[in-house]
Amino acid sequence: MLFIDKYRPTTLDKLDYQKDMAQRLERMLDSSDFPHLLFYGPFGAGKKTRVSAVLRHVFGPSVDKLKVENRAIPKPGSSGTVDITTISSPHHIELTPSDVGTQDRLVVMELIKEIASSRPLEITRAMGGGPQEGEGRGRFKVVVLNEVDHLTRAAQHALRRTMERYMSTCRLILCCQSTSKLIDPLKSRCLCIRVAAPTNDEILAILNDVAHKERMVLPPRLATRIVEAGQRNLRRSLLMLEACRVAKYPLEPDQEITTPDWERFLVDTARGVVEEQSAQKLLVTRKRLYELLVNCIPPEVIFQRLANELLRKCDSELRAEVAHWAAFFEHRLQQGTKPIVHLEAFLAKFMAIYKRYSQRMTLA
Amino acid sequence: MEVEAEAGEPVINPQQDEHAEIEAEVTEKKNPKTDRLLPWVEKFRPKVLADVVYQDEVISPLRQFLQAGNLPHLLFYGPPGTGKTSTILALAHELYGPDLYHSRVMELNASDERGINVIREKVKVFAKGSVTHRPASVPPPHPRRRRVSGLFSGLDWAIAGGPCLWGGPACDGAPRSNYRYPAPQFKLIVLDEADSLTADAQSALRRVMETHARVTRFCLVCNYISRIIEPVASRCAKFRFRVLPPESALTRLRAICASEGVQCPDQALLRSMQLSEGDLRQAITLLQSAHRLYGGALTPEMFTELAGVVPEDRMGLFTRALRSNSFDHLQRAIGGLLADGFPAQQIIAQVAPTPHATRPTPHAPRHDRHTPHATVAPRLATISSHRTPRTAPPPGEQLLEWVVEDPELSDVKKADIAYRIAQTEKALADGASEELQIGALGAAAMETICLGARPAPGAAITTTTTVAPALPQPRPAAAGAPRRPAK
Ligand SMILES: Nc1ncnc2c1ncn2[C@@H]1O[C@H](COP(=O)(O)OP(=O)(O)OP(=O)(O)O)[C@@H](O)[C@H]1O
Ligand SMILES: [Mg+2]
Repeated sequence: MLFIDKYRPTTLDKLDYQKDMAQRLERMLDSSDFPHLLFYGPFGAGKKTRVSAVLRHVFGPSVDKLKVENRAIPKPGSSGTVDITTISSPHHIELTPSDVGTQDRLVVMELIKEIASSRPLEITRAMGGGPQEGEGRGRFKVVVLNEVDHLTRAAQHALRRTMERYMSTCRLILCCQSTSKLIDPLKSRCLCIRVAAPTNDEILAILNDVAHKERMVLPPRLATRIVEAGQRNLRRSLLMLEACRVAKYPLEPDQEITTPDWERFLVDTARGVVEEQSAQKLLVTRKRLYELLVNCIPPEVIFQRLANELLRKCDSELRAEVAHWAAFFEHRLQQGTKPIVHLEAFLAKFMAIYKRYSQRMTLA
Repeated sequence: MEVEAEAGEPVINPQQDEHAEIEAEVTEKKNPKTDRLLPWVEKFRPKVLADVVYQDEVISPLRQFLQAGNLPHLLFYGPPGTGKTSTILALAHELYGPDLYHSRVMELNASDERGINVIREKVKVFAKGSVTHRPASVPPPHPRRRRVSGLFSGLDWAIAGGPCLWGGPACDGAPRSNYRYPAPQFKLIVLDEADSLTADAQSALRRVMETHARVTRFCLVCNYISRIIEPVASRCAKFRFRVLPPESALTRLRAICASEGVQCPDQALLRSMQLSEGDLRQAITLLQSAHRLYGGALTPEMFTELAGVVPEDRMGLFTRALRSNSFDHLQRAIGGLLADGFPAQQIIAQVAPTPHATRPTPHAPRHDRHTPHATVAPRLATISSHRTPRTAPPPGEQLLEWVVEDPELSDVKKADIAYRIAQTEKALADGASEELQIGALGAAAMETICLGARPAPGAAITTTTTVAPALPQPRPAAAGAPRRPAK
């Protein structure tokens, strides 16, 4: 089992960081009239962990009796269906409506409404509910929706009234990276809870803790370096720690920290662009980008990384301009359908800016 | 007397689906058990028009309609959480009373299939059972009620909706009834969240509205009136729901505190309203959450923490970075904010100077069709006249207000930054990367502030209206850059 799974805290009081928020949340959940919740925060900040801890607190251990189901929702006006996978326990159901792309409205309209409007199963009592049986515990069910920031507008609209209408029988827990893409009426209907990524100190503490539990000796310098490289992403840091152990044990303070292959590949690509600006180089770079894309690295991740690398490498005088064009072309990439075109356009723009600048520098 | 008592008794229509039953529970509050499970927003949803606060300009005409027992088609619009849905539901209840509510009122919202045909069919079927004939969907007379109706020489007023004094074919010459509700001769179709209806569906709706005009009234509810096509809008009496100023909701919030035993000074209540920018639903959620999360006497600071605004010191780091003229410094500040989970939208909202309690006005221009949170545009509208009177500014918001209020920044610089804020906001709403967008905005603002284009005074605003992003001017190279293609 990977460290990230092995040491995932399961209850609110065991969460390693942002403890006071967790404790307060627990208090709120003790009364059954808590509002819809919206957890938002960066990738790897621990939203999922928090949600499952919330569920366990509200319904007790029976939320672990999970079953995975595939649901087929008939498309109106045609014979096809929209298929979506759900994970459910007797008390909750979890799904990612954006999995079905632009058909997500159908999922919200048909599936979520159906779940929300059906009466809750009154079996919690018999099953012992939670340890501290609160009144009404298990009288409603919880629907967990992941990645709501990827929902289409239509789907978000479809959620609005459903969230109000069936409040007595159903609570929603929404998760997303940022609330920027959510429509105001949805935010208005939830208590929005920010989940910050753990700080470097917190990550360091967790790394040491895991090392201790695994009975491995983690040299302090290596730990700090892993934290640095982990960029405030706990998952990434834990994976790196594990990779280090696989690579070399006992651990050494200065041993290499392996980053994913594709990241190194991108760094090389960026270096190439800074070294030479020419049409040929652009062609070569395109091949490299294609290679990343066919390996299923999401285009926006490639863009982000590439832009960061280029910004880091170029002269500070150029940065504002490069940042401007990065934002400009990434925006287009999001709206367009062919990522490679926009990635390339950005690189071409960068080369032009960079070349003009270096020529001016040599003239001066 | 007897009738009075009965009027409050829910008559569950066997034909009603389960949705309606739950709705009945929710709206009629018969069940104290579910009551205790209900989040406060729903628990304290206004049940009668009198409960709706602040929207007098809407409520008093509605009350007149109620007295007259007649309604035009209605169009409610305004930002979230200002009472639109509550008002129409309360109006419908006051109009028809509990007995007739379910047979006379149909609610269709964005969670229902609302294609052209569906609207046409549903509305047709619903409207067809004209209320002057016995509609299939009206509940059979309650046994006890039959006895009462006997009093009125056999007039089946349960069907007619009560012999009303306001005319209509069914009640000609009928005596005054004890049924307390006007129960007029038409059915009410509520199209909630109507701004998500397609233009095609709206055109179809226009015909439907005409065809069934005698027996139905429509009430459209939406956030942006610009998304309702003109022919439909012009058939309705329009009512604008305004953002609630903090003080206006005080009585309501105090009442909630009293009934739930919350200790919360007015000052903290005001803060919750400011933080929710006039969205009473959000304020009530904040109140409940603060009560449950912190307990005890509530303070304004608790609300600030809960509302997720970027705290002053964090925002201060960012604004200092903007002045530092160091890109690394800026990137670190931005990286920190994003890693802490502050949404870019929020950072911008705080960067953009906000006149007190402004939300996107329902008059938001057409181009926000794609930007539901066009929070910046209306704010920018006030940017040049930055002497907008304000009540105490919400915390955090005064921070980058210096963009506007800083005496050291020239108007040109302010306009330039404002322009970029607007661009960024749009890009974010389109789903562009937060890090890149905020990074670009920050870099541009930093340049403007630290180096800055200093065109001759007077050339001011016009420069920013050109399509080309005002790229760093002093560098000759940038001037030669190809113009950004116009969209
Ligand atoms: N003017 C008001 N008076 C009293 N309560 C209000 C008012 N506005 C909002 N509320 C409270 O907020 C909740 C939500 O209000 P409502 O559903 O009417 O908002 P809305 O205008 O329909 O918003 P949306 O556009 O998001 O649908 C209500 O349950 C009520 O508790
Ligand atoms: Mg509403």
